[in-house]
Amino acid sequence: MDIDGVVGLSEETRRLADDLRFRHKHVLEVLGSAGEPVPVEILGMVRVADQLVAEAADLFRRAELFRNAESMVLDRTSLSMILHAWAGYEIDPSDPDVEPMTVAELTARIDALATAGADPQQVTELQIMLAVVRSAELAAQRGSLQRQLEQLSVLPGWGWVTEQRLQLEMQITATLIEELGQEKLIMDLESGSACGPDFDLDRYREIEVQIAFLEWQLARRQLGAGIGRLEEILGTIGDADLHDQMTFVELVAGDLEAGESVLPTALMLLAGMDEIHQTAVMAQIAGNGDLDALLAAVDKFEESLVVQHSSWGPVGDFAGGVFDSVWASVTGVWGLTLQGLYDQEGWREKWSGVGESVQLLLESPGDFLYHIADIETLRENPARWLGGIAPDVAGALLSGGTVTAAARSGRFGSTLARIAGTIDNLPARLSARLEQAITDPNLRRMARRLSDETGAMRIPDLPIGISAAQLEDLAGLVTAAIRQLNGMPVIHGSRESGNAGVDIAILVDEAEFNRLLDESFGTPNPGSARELTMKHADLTGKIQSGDIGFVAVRRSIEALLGYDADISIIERGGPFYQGPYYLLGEAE
Amino acid sequence: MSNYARVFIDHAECGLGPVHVVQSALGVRRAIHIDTESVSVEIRRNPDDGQADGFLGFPLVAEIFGREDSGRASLVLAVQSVVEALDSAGFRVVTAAEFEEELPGHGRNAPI
Repeated sequence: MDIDGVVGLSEETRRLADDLRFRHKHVLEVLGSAGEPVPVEILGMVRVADQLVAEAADLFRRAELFRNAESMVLDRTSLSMILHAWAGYEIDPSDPDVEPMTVAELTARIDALATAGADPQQVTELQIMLAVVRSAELAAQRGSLQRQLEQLSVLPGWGWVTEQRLQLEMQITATLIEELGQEKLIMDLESGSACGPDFDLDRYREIEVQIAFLEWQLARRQLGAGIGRLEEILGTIGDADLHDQMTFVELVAGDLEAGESVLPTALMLLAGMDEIHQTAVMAQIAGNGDLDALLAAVDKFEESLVVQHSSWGPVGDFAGGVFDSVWASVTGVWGLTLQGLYDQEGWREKWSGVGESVQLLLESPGDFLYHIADIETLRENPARWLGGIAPDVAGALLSGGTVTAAARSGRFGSTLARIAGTIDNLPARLSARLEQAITDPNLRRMARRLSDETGAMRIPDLPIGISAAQLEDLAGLVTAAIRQLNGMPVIHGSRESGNAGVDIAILVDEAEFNRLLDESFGTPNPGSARELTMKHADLTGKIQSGDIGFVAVRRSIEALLGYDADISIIERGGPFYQGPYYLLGEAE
Repeated sequence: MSNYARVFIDHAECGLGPVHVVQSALGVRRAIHIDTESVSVEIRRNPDDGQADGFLGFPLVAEIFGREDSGRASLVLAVQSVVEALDSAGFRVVTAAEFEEELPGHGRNAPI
């Protein structure tokens, strides 16, 4: 996101943002020029940096909104309601004393909490409120609003995470300068050429990876803490006796931090993954219906995640979807929290609904996902749609009992029917993306739900004309043959009945396809028929069995089945990547 | 070094079956899988039949594999024999192989 048009940013913030953008772009260029895979931690860190810039920009854009008169009036209305709820004041929203009285009330409450030795984090929420109220106190103070919001960034919560990361980035820069030599580093960065004769690329990479790993660990800790805090909140709300005894401050103060940190840290982890693993993590969440599944999935895939920088496009789309949804969720949390100030009854009701939503998610994750599905986005940009699932799950949790109410009233069935009627021909890419994680039994079940209830995806049952025993033997043959490949064996689902033959495909991603293409064809002579054959394979995303050396297994398959077989390498997303497919070797 | 060659065969206007031609060239009479001491040949439908331009869309392909214990020369010789036999029988053929430049006429009688 471009911050150039954002007003009110301090020079220091601008400098940090520019530095982040420049340096991470530079890291990608350096690693990319080395022709090696970019570790996912690096990509994750770049995404984190980009998001920090986005966060800063949006924070200050929101500040701009506060500066117009209309917002001021609305804000005064809220404040008058807050005062009424707290202290029983009856005060007209147009009364100029609204802001000073609110500030005084907030200050008194903060002091009381501090005197009572309350957890500092419990004071945080009121401090944030105080800063916001003060910033909107008088039109004459508009100029101080940016300074107030900047102060927010050093308080625990979303801003605290931002600040911590900015600090970390500064440490990264300092480490790089120290390790590589200040003069050389500056020279290299300014010239845009980091591969000069004295540049120690290996050391540079090593440092970046180490730091990225620390960043990764930090994000994981925050995610774990955030989820733990959220569960704690839900547990508390589940105890009806506490509702009558605890005040807003006791229940919510400090919890905004937990609600905010879950989402950004989760998306930072997700955005750093490649397309396949993002989908798999989504499936984990959907299948298990448990936010802990997100952590489990991250654990599962963390070590194996190595992506090529060429897969950046879909990741960018994914991250975009994540950001859209997260921002909406955060603003929703904020609004819900504000409501607690002046409408405790309504606030309590909504937060109680969170527990019911969690129950629905646990019991029926598919229904939950359908309810929050943005079908239009799904049709136009599946990557962005999938990117939006994770935070939307959390967002829906925080939306109260809406989902539960719809399900209980029976309207949910008609919602599904409407969705099904909307989807006629989903983009092939959507099916492709869902199929990518089909090895996971949970996703398998979720995909079947999509198949059954919306027609979004078609997964054939047992291939026609192949017995279960043959299928098992076939899976064994193929699995053994592709042990050295990073691919997924499938049978094309459009196979006709009878003995017309069977098409087996090994689905691979772009990087693996390119590797196999090189391995199969080497460097053919220019203008030769072999070169044209290779170009055709590249263009169509299909390497035939003879070229890849699968003739022996092809013959074995034909002997097993008694009719013709073909086995080829198919690049995901290529022209031949068209399901439906039946997965070979699935253990459901 | 690849031990594999693919000969694209256009048989649309020919009356003589290419399988029979290849069998005759190699002195064997077997089904679509033709094995000799030095090579293995399969005549198959080209998966890209009608879906690609030029020779890449020819209806048939002969896939010729050299056996592991045979030398490169025997593979080249076998491919040359197959191509010449198909050419003599009136088929249009194009060979795609690492060694195609070593074959007479680059192993083809049709443009690429």
